[in-house]
Amino acid sequence: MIACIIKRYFMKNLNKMKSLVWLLVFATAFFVNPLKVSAATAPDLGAADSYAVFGKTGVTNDAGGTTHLWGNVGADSISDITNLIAGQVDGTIIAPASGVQTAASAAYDTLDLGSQGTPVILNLAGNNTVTPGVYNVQASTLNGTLTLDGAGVYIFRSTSSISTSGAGTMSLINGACADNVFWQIPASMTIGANAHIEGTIIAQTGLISFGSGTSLKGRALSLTKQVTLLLNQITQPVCAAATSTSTSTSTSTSTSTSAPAAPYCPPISNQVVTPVIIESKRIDADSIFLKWGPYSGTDTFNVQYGFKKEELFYNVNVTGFSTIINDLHQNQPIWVRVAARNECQIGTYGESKLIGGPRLPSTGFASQNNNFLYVLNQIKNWLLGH
Amino acid sequence: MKKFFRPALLIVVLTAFFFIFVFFIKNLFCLPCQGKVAVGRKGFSLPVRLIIPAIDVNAKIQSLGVTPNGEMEVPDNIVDVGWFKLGSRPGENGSAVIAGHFNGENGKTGVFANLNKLEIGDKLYLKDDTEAALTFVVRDKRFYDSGYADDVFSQNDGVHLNLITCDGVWNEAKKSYSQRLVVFADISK
Repeated sequence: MIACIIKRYFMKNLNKMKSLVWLLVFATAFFVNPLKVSAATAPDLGAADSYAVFGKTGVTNDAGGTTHLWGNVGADSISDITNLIAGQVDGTIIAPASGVQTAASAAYDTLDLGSQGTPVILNLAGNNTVTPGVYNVQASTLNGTLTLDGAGVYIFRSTSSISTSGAGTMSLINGACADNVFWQIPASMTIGANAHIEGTIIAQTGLISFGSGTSLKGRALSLTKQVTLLLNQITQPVCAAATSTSTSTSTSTSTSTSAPAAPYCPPISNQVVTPVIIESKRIDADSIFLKWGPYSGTDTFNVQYGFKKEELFYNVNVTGFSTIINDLHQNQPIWVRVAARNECQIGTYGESKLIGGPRLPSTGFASQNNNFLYVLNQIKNWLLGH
Repeated sequence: MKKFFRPALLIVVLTAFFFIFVFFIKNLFCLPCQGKVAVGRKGFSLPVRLIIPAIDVNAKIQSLGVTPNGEMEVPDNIVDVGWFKLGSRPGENGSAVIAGHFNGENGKTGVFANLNKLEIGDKLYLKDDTEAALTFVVRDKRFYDSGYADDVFSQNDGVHLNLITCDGVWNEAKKSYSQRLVVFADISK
């Protein structure tokens, strides 16, 4: 009897039930599934592909830090690459890094093409899960976990500078790969201390600044400014799937799809001894002379200096074993260290040393107890009423 | 007899207490007297006190820079000493430099008046604001003409502490002594 009543009720409201089911299906698709947008394509990075870091106007690392980069490092001038030694780079320090800026700039433009699809606005704050596609992250801050779910190309465009906080991290799952993730930043990108980012960052007009301990799986390419590093690890955006593909294809295929070879940079010989500053003296109020040695097969060096031991912000390339550093702050001593260099890389710096110290201080006055002439003078003054 | 014995005993006991008290205070506050100075470079912050038992120095440390004419600044009184803050920090690899007055304008003796009496092997102690201490041992004494002396500030082959004061004869025209005495010390191992 009861079953009969239920059956009649369902038959009577069948159309209403169908509508409810469809509504549930849509709601589930909308709320449960990750955000899905149109497909995007990866740009050709060309000469920039083999670079972990490129800063057109330089790459600045912290002195004596533990930064390590897997990939090439480049800038327009070798003198603009500071505090990075060959041992910190599993690749090559290359300057001038010809063609990299042009290639990265072309890739930036490709990422901006309308054919990449209509971008979906995405606020990076909090935890988000996205599928391959184009996203406009505006100027939001990544402070949670950004999960990339699925194989394909992800393009994150910004309208301004963007930043991450220390809690910002990325998780790539279900075939998502850092080599297919791109950050197109028109200004600068600041990555908070201990954050983790994946993908190729291309900043058009600003710095790419890494906080202390930040890690990146990808590339940091600044088209017009510097990349600043602080105790960072930048690893190559290797995809597991890509690796298995390359091993299963023929040699000729692997060769044709491999990244363009970096320009050859001869290593600094193991025979070259780390230079030691053996003489220094102040020439005048704003000039200091220094000399170093020994000769061990090269006469080209990089002299790095600054006003604090931990802040050697300036450097000069020298051919020979001595130099005079001019135009310094009046009477300020400087901290200096020297490394051998060749046309494209800098060797190990020696211990930094304070040079151009002040004149020895005058810590005394005319003796008034034992100087006989002084006593006579005092008596004379007393008699004359002075 | 009892009349005299009790006060005498009281005096003896009080005297004993006094000496015990003095001994306790001395050991509590006189770091080098204890013979067990905590030596450690790690965590040593800015130096606040220089102690040289051999010449009875226990001085506050000021931080000094450079005068407009390129000389190392001097402490603003004759009882303190001054650390050259643009150079190495005590305990770090390099040469930390401390200067002190030889005498004062009023004829009083300065904190480093007896610096020339230090002998090789004498010990110097630096304390920071957390009471951590570093021990240095005198290695050498040298006289310099007034002027630049980069080796006093720049030696970086170990952890050094160099003390400077005036010496020589007074030059009335230059208003300065003719020489500088520099005592070189190394960190105690």
